[in-house]
Amino acid sequence: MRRSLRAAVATSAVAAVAFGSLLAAPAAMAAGNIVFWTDADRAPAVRTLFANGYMGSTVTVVVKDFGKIRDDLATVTPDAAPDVIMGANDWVGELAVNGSIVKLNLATKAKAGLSAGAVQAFNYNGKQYGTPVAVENIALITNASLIKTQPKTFQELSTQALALKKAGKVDIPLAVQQGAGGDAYHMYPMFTGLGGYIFGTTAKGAYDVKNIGVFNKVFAANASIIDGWNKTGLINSKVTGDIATAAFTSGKAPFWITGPWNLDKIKAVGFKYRISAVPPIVAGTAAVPFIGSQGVMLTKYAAAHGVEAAATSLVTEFMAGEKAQYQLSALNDRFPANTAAAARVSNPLLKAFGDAGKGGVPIPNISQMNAVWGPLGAAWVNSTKGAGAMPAAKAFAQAQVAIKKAVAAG
Amino acid sequence: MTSPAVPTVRVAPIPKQRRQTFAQWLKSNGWRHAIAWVAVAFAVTPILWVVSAAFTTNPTISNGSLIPSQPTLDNFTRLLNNPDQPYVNWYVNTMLLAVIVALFTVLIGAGAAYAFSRFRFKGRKVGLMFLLLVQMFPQFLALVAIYLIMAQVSDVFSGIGLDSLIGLGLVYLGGAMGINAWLIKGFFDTIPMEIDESAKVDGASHGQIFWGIILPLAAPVLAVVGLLSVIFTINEFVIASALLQSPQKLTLAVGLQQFIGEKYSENWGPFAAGALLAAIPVVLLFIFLQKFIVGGLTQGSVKG
Amino acid sequence: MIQRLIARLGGTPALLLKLLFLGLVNGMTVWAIPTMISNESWLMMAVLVIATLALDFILLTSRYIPAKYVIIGAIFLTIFQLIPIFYNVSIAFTNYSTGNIGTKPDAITAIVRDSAAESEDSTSYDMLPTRNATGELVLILTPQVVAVEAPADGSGTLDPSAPSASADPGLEEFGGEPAASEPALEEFGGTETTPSAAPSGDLTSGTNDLNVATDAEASDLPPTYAGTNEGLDELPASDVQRDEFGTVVSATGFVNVPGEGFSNLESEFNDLAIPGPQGGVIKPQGYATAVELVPTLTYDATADTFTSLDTGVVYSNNGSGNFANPDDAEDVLVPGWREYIGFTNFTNVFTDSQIRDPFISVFIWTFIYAILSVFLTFVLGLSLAIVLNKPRMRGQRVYRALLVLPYAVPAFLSILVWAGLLNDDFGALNSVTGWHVPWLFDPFWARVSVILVNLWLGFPYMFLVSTGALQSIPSELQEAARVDGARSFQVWRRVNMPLLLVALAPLLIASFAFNFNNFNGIYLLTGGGPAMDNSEVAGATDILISYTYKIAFSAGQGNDYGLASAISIYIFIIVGTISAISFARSRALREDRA
Repeated sequence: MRRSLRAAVATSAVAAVAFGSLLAAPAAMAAGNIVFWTDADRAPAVRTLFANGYMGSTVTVVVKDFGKIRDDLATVTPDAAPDVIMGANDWVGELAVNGSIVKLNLATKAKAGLSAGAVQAFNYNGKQYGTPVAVENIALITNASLIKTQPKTFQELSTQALALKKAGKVDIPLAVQQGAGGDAYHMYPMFTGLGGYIFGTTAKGAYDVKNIGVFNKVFAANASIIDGWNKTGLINSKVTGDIATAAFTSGKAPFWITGPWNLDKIKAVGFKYRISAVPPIVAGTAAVPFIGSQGVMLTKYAAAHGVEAAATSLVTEFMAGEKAQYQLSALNDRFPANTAAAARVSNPLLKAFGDAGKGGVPIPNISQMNAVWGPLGAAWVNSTKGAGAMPAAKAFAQAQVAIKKAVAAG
Repeated sequence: MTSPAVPTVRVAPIPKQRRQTFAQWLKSNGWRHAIAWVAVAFAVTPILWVVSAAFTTNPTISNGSLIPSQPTLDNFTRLLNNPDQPYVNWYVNTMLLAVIVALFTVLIGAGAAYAFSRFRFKGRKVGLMFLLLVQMFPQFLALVAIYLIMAQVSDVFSGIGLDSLIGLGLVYLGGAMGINAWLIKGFFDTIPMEIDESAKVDGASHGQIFWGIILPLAAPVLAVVGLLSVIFTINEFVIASALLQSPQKLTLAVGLQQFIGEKYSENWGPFAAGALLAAIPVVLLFIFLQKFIVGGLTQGSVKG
Repeated sequence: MIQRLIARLGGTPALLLKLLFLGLVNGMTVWAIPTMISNESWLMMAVLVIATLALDFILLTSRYIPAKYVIIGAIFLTIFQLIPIFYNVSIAFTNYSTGNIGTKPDAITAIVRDSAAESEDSTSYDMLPTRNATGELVLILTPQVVAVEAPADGSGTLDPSAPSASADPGLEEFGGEPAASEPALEEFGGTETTPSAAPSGDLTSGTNDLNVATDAEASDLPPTYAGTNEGLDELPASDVQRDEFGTVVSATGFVNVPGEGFSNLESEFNDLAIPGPQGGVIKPQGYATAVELVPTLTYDATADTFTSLDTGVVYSNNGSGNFANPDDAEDVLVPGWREYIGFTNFTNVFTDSQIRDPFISVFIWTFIYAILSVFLTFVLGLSLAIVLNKPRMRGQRVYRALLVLPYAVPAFLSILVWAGLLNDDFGALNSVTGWHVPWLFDPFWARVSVILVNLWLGFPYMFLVSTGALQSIPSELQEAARVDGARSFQVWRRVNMPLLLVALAPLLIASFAFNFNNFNGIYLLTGGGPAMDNSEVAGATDILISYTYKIAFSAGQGNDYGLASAISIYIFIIVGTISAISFARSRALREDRA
């Protein structure tokens, strides 16, 4: 027994040394390394931007699933944590409340160079939490070989689309995605086109969460139009993103409402197409999309990693600038938030999307918005599910009540 | 926990059948065949549908038929040549992980079963009850805690924490002892103690009895436990999706779910091909071990 | 034969193997200790050291022989099952959720930091880091001036009624037949479009120069200051050198910090707090800009309160992880921190209608789902087993093999496949049959779908075990009954059924427990959807376990780990109770009492 004990001690010592060389712990982050989380879509562009590092610091680009960037930031260990993340403006509320991202103080000039709406989109509780780098919105894509004259009103669009459907030339008159869970984002142009709004604004421009306009008077007066769409089958909630894509790209839908993330697929279609705003539904009310905004944010970990100044500079100075945003846009097919860079965009498709987004509304980044998506999406689903659908007036009135209740409950 | 041993079909010699009319046949056995056909159709049609889709160019979920008119391997090519979604890595990861975890699960379970079956010690009953109780708490309910623990492990042992297949395997082994120890113990209990005693008289140590006598005799139940562990690992989705991050480190369950999620029309063909490739080894293993499984199932294990 | 086998297993090689294994484990632990100390991972260190010592002691001595066979499994069980459970229980007593994920010191740091605000009239500066003659860091600061101009476009305005550009009748058309060189950007037809000019900027210039171009005209250049912690010191215009855009590039008497040296400035930047003209503090915001910030909150460490400098409100610790305004519970400072809040999560399930209503409907559905799953799979499996349990039936083996196939295919694959087949109007099932069943879409049909798929997945198992049980019923029993003149159905009811139920009851209960927590069967098929009206998290097919998962991890809805942990404990209690009752009645324990 004693002998084996001694042998065990000896083996242990040898193994300890061996482990030291084999399983070397992650070397403490080298000073001056900025860790940058982004998704696979944007990673090549970001890598190109920082191929030579940034102002004497190296930049490590880590690729994450888009949604995981936000989720993992809550649980990540300090060592592995990022210093800079690229994400969507509607994450700001949650990340700021968690203290995961820190307030930025954009200099006057940097701010002036950016689209005011996009800057506002990254503002939470009056504090700036990100630098917008791109804006995106959905638009109406029209199959020009099926639709010779672009409809000027939604009524015309409906007539043309339903005629094609009746003639058996298309399967889906208007391809706009919903699915079982609903999709208030893609339905938003129709929502605003009928006079709906989500939150009113206070005199100071902040969101007024007590003023919910899902079923306001204007919308209520127009709600029966939705019942008409449902009856004729113009809009059907069973169309998912997947089905909408397949239908339009195969020529089986004359109209498609989608965003620039589908540009690759749009470019690949074998027919001519147009990109425009959704035409107005009722006179005097524009059918505008949500303006989503992507931006870079600084995490609380940058300070602990000793790269606070470098990462701040990257976020507030470099990424806010025309050059970075123009390059990013060229590499990634998104419309820049920097107005000088936006003016230089030459890609006509991107420009067309930008034009279609004029007058659009930033996605509210306040946490109360979480209480809106579900009920509003469900109202659309319930009122446009074909046979057995709920009258729109009832569905949206219910949504209004549900949202009010949820917002009040905090 | 004595078990109904592997069932055997009792066959009484039946005299050679005479020719019978259709009505007679229907009355005696025909209706059985009719029901069996319907049931087989229910069981097999979805599988055939996938097999057919795998060999059809650009199938959609709606069209397609049970027999592809022009079979092609396009989907397999598309599936295997996609650097963003490295199916081959997922495949190798899953199979290796499943086999290695199964091996350790069997050893851990058998060790515990041996101790509880062959020794009488203080705390034995409590230990057994404890194992039963603990395994009722599904491991993945504590996902948040597991994630946070693995995050700490990553800080010390970079290779076995988050985003590591070894780390994932270690987590799975946390559930190795519970129900498996019970299952294997049930079988060990049916092996007569006299065998141990006589070996002991011959001078065999407890280790030699365990490795040399008990384990070989218990091969059927070990095979069942191993197979159930393989099936568990292949199907496990939640913990794997929380711990694994890099695309090349995913398991099939996580990878294919991401591959097909929300993209049914677009990826249906390659997905069908991938599903087919993934299912084949498991189905073969299952058929190969089927006679053990029937016995094992009746002892109270449920597919996990 | 056995003798020889045994002899081969003993002796030196086995001992060496054991020592090697222990050596590896010990080595790993010893090696990891310094890292764990520096990480302050005390709990982990304790667990690892105790586990290693226990392993050494038990495997190297002969005092506890049974323990040798249990120890490794027990260590895994402890680390990856028991500790997570206890951890989970402790989380259930906290407010761990979105907004309360960090520690209190972190929260205080964040509040202090984020409360420093640019006041209405505070100034931004162009900044040039330099060193003076003594090597001290001095920031050359020039106030930024921006020509006021209207925003380039209306995009992003908050006004929902802003008019949109009306649809242009002559929209460009894109696409068409693929062009050879630049398929993406070819433009076809439409109104006349001039080819876009080539990008005016240089995409490839290598250095990352900072983009702070200035529009200021030379005539009214703002003053330039040298900033240190002592304050701002205006420099004579003659000492300041500017480039053609008016940007300050150097100042006489100061040496620019070279660009590659910026990354070493971190700690010096941190120490800089230049008193500004508006009463705030000028802090660098990167390498080329600085902004004057005015604090809006002050922290009093002894009283543990924040005081607002604007309103005078004193925010105090509200005991549940936030600093809050005592007069307005809604007015809290973010972020908060993790705090023990007692049984709140447990009681909220019953008292908070926002949680209770969905919880109750999910709870009821979970039972319906589990019971129906077990019942239907059992009825179908048993019926098929009876039908095929006829000696000498032709094709019996083939039927059995085919019927078992759904069980042999990994379930996650089958579920994903079914999700495609059931895809509403456009899925295979509807298009082949010509039905228009909204399978995954309508709450009722989605529930039918998850049960149908579970039936497909589960009936082969019931078929297998029923076949096994049927074959283990002694045929003498059946024959004896038949001789008595009992008709075959009665034979069934009186003789076979009771025997079968005795044999299969534990399996049915185990199956119930399994389906009660059948996460994959729900989540991979419907994701818990479609949505219900009374909750934004729970869907119509959500069972408790998928609902819990969504509470904790659902993207975009906020994460409530504390509540999820509390519900997981309820699930444990429910499943545990059911299993305990079944075990108390099963043979397993009675036999082990020996």
